[in-house]
Amino acid sequence: MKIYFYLFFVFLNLNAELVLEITESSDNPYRIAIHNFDGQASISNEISAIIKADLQRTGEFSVLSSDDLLTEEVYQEELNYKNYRLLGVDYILKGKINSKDRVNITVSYDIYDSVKEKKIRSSKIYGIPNKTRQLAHYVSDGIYEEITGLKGVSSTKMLYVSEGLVGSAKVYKLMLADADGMNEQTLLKSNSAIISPSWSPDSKEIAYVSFETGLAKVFIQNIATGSREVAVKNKYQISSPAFSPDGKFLSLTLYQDGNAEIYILNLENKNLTRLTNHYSIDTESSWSPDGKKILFTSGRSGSPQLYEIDLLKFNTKPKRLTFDGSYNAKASYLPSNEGIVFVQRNEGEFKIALKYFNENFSRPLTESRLDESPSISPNGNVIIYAIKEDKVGLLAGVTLSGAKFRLPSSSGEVREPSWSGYLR
Amino acid sequence: MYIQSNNRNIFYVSFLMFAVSCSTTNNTEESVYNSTVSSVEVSVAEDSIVSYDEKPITTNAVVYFDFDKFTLSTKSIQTLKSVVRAMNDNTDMVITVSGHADERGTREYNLALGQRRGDAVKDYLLLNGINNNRVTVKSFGEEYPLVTGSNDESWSKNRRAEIN
Amino acid sequence: MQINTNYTIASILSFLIHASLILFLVGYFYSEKKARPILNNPIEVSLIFEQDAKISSIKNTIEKPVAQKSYSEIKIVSSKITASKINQSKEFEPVINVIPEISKPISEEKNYSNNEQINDADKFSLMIIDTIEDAWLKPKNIQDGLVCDLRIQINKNGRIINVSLLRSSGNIRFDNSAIKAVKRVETFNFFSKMDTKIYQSNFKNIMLTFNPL
Repeated sequence: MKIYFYLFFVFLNLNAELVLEITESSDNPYRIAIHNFDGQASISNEISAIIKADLQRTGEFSVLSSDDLLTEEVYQEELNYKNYRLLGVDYILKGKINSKDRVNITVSYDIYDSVKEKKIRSSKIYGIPNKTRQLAHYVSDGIYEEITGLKGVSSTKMLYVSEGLVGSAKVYKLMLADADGMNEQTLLKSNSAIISPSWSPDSKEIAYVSFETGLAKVFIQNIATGSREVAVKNKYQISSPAFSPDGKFLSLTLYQDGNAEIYILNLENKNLTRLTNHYSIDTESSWSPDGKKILFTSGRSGSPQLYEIDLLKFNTKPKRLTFDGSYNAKASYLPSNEGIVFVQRNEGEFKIALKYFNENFSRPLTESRLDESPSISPNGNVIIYAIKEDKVGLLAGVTLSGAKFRLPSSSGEVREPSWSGYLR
Repeated sequence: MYIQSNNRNIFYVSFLMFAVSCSTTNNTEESVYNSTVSSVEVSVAEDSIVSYDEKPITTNAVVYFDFDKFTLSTKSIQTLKSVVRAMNDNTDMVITVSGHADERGTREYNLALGQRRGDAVKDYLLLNGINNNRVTVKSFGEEYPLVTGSNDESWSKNRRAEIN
Repeated sequence: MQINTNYTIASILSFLIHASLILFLVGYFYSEKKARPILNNPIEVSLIFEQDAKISSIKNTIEKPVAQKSYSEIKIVSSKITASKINQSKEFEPVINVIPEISKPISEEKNYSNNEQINDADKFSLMIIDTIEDAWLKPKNIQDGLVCDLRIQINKNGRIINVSLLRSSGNIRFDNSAIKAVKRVETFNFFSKMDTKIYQSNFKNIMLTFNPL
């Protein structure tokens, strides 16, 4: 029995899950004190640790745990709010885990405001025993939503591509993981390259480009069933898929006209509508949150720049959006539709930049040299992207409030992250 | 009357205390959402990325490009001239031009760039009398670099079009 | 004839609705950046809620609609943000140093001298602004030109007993930063120096405008 247990434990470690690393925190976080949850100690510790990491990764919180607190308040009914204020604590979290019933785990938690001196939220979450991580993420989201008023993204997921070696052969995998990089699952395993993973708006399907047929082709795959189909069946290269916000269309880059042009595929009747008509490269299409405009990268001015087409009148010339820098590409809209996030090359270095529509300059958000593939969280506050460091590809995150974190991989290179929609 | 109004006051007060306290604490309940995930495994077909089987004689030629450019240099043209000669000498020969890019910049743009590079080679060959049917262009963007490394030297070796 | 009149009325109404819609969209009805001077004679304040008695607070819940417009307005002009604007930098972190021209008059006020020419209410208003400015960190990576209004209730000891968002900037992080600043200040200690009369008529209920110029 001991041997089996040992092997099982080793096997778990070999699953090589991504591990989180916070490298920089924001400058004006909410300070929350998290008490250990009542209930089974092992589950309680796990849940507390996950909540702490989730809240730190939002860039809006700094977390004090029980060890940091001067007094252990657990057994007192009435909290000593003044003590908490002296410690600089804004909010207090207390909770209970009920795991007596083998079929369910129930987590209940209360949030207290140290300034208002009262309880501001009382919540209950019903979960199942082997999915405690998810329960913890729901708690984190509840805390985030109550205090900031914004929707939380701790319970969302991400897609990314990993590249590794098995023997001397390269293996490419399309991975699905939780927003903290844990709980990795392989959606596609292939010995040819996979690029441009993207989510359908209901987060149930994915689209990606695979080179398995020898040419770049776009596939749409159902996450639950694994069933997949080629988006457009012809003998030409197709890439850069992006679902429309209503899920009815897929924008694509087709190469059948002799150069890269953007088309829109009607997913129901399979009709293709051409959007761009220019001899230069037009690719990397992305939809506005209201589905009325498409952003794309075009080389028509001599270098890659960002352009926007209004779908309600797409016969007009695309509007150019970026004028600074010699390379602006891979853009996507902020969910609030107030601006865009994209890759910008400045002085030879590639960074992730943010530009608001009502401003005429872009703001660099990241600091390394070879940043690419930014993907914005559904609440518009966190951006994950790929970096290259010491020849290894890693995923990193930056929040609008200035916090930074890494998701270092223990299994080869990871890249091209794509953030899901809300799953709660 | 007096008792009635008292009761009423108490009712109002307690209702409002209840209402006030309820309105200041947010009570929620939810269940965790569960979903299944399936995994798919794909093996590449035999004649995929680069196939050497079909052609009687292979010409492995490579031409290189500048960053973000798909124009042919004089050196490239020299290389292509010999390709033209080889193809004229052997009229059965069919070639695949695969375009590549270095790792900098975005993957999709690089895929399109690789395509332009491949097309630049094809255009030259067609201009020199080679039949359209004999030349196929594919792009692999930055996905299959020849050399790993994040420096100018490695990058310059990856910005290429391969002719097979 | 009757039908014609109906048509006329309908078309006039339609014209009015469309006209006002267009004007609204054009922005005719929206007035931006009105200067809000610090009031020398603040608007008369009606009875305010204090959390001493629970029942009285409940009573006041009913009275809420009445108290709508009775608060003094105090403008928070973040001189920190003004300084960074002048530098024209793309650095959006608030600058700690206050620019000299603006800081001079405030430092004069800080002497808290019994200068009769300076209205006490104004003096305290500036102290409130000072305290809150020190606590306010404008969030990073948000656009310029955002403004929000908060309403705060203060008890006679200077303790802020309620904060509410009166007008949102449209950006939740910006609004949150203002609320956070007020909550962290928590108490204006200098209220103990305040005359009860001044407190009663000016500072029970104030509105703060957060407007980085």
